[in-house]
Amino acid sequence: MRITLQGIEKRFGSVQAVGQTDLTITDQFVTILGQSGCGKTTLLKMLAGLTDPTAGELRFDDQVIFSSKDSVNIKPSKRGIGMVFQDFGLWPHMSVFDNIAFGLRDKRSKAERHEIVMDALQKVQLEDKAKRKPGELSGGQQQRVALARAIAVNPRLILFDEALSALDSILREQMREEILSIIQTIDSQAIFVTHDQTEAMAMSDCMIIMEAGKVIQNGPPEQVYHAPADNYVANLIGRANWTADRDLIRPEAIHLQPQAAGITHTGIVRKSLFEGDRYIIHAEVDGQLWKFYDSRPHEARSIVKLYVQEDTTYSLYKQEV
Amino acid sequence: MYASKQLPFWMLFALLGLLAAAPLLAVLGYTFMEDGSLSFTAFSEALKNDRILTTMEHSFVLGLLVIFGTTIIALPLAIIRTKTQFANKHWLDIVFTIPFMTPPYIGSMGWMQFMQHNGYYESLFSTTAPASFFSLAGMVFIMSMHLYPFLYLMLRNTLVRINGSFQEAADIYGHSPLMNWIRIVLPLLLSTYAMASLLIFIKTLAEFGTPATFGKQIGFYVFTTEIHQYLSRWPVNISAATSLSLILLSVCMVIWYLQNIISRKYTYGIHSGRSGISANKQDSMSVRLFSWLFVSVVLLLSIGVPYFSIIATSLLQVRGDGLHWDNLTFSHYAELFSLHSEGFSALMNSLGFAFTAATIAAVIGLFTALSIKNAATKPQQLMDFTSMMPNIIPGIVFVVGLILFWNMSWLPATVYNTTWMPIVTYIVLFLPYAVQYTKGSLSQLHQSIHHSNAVYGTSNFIIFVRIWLPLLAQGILAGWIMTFIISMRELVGSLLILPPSVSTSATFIYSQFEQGDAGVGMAMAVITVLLTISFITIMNWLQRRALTHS
Repeated sequence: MRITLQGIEKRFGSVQAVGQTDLTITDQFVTILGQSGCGKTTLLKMLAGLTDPTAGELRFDDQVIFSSKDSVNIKPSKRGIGMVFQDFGLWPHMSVFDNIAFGLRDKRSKAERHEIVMDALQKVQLEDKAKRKPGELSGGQQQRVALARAIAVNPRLILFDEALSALDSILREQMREEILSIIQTIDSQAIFVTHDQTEAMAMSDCMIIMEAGKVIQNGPPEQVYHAPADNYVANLIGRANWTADRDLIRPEAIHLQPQAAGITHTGIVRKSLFEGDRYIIHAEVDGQLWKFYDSRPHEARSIVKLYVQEDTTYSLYKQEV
Repeated sequence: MYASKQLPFWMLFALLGLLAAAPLLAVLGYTFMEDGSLSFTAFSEALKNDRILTTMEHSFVLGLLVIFGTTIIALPLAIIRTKTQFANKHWLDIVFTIPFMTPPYIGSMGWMQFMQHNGYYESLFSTTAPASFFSLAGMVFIMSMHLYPFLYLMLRNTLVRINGSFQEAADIYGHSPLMNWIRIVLPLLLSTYAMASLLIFIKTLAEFGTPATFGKQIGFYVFTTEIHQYLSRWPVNISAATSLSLILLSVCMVIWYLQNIISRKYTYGIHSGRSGISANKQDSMSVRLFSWLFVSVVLLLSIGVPYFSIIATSLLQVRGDGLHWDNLTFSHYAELFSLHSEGFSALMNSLGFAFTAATIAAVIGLFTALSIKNAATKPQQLMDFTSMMPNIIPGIVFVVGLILFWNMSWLPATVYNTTWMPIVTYIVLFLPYAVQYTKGSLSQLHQSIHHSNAVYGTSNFIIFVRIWLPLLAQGILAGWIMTFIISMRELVGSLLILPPSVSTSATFIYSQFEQGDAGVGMAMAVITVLLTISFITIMNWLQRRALTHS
């Protein structure tokens, strides 16, 4: 499905939450990344229909979902979407089964509903919890129920609003993989809002990066990582080293052995930090703090020679010219 | 070592027991003990007494009707405040608390003066006022207009919490707004409604102001007014008063217990966060019209009319002459503020009693809150319960108990018949506020504060002065203000326990109204309300400041 945003904009009174945005989304798994208050959740809620844009047009393929000009505004329940909330949003007075079946009422027969709900529960590995109330489940289980509720309605798009931030880090990593594999097995797209850059890079086919209500870059994670649109993006995604000419060098492009067609820098080691599979070395190079990797620690205040291949430096300024 | 560490805790416990538990035991003892042995005669006789049975029936009917009345007002208001353009009008919540903060006897007097023969209704509309107002229906109306804010606030808070992701999930997965409302909002709202309406029932049973003024005029007697009658009118019948008190106490305990069961079983951890902006949709014309109309009518009836009457009466020279400019006078206020007048000394008494009571209650409340902590041990839970009892049990029951207890012949010393009696009474009745507000600000602090104190504190005294006092100051002050303003206006206790020839502003207003000389009384009412409003404004300001600072 092709999701098109044209001049979508949202104001709360005099505050502009999301500035005029034009965007086309076709990838299956898209993340919206940004710090809190950057407007990413507002953008997601506008896609869901929970918040009405102040202006603009929104289309799913050729179907107009929202248009301020033509006064079109399709209700959230008619948009063919599912949504997973940060705080789960499971209705506490209903059983897990009823929570998942709620979106199917009046649409399917009782027998069909039962089959669909049990199938969804099986996908999230919670078949035995159907009769429980949400309050009796752990956080991770509740999040799975919320996911099951979303896939049960057979949506063309599932929206995740900081869906994993309420979980601890081990569970989060596990859920990441589960969500990815479930989305791949069902015929649905996903848009995932997060402030966690590793989550965003690992999960998505396409990243949308927002700052202060504006989309500042969108593209595949590799492209965003190697060719960030500006300083902010470069520092947000991965580790960034800067040369005196304000060129960007990622840590893995810095070598301790001479490289063909490379530039040599000299640095003074500040400290070495153990990361498990490698050490990250902090060194001062031309007045800048650089970080690079090595398999062994370096003594503080020792002098290192660093080799950088020319084609692995990326200039933000040349790009702008 | 152990004993000396625990000593302050048990001393505080003993003090609370003396203040709050002893009076209740005195009521029990008086009813069930005869010549040193257990006896049910007095109580069973009371249960056979027709007058007492009628009183019970009156109270229950009134309670149920007031639940109905407050629901009609509060439920639509709560919905309007969460689902329409009114969602952003936060100032409304402060306005809605005015009826609740108005002493019930003052509101009731306002309505009586408005609707009575030759009253303001007749002079405003130049027609005869409907005499049918002075009936049970009128009483239910007045009490509902006083109590609805309580139900409204509880319903609104629940609706606001549902408004977050619960509502959003319903919007996405549900098919019709009506079904969403029936299957999601209503069930989630129901437990709150059940709890709130039970509390409304208790509050109605415990209320004295409206029954003592309006109820008396229409001959509708309830628990509180009957207990007052038995104790204040000759021949004094203490045993009937204690039996009635005991029935009232039992009913309230049972309802409170039911309320607890509901809250334990059916209150879900509603942690639907980020409710944020719900009302960005434009309301339709009819919704807007209806909500404006509804809010205006409720405000007019619950604030406009009673306050109009009170202020008008306080300013009119001769009430029968009606509303004319040349009939206006400030003489009632002048009389109130002339030294040595009865009104002035009543006002000064009230201020003095309330100040002393609030200060002592704040100190006891602070130490109680610090001792209870998070109520982990059984003694702590018991202390919590003891300090909260006056919140559950109607004030008049405590007043009866206090009179009995402080009149016991074996006491080495007594406060009865001294000016300390009203002070002790106010402390007992309003201690829960002092404890609750301090407990509230204590619970907002992070647990690690206790740990930091343990690690870095050099002495208990320093911890108390440098950590607890500054951190809890805002809560202590809020509790102090609350205790002060409700002590200022307390009526039923003051009527029964004041030493001879001492009056307070509340008893002054009441006796002036009884004697039909309402002008000075109503001037006093206006002063009382102005004091209340200014103190609440200070409290709100303090709370807002504390919020922005943290």
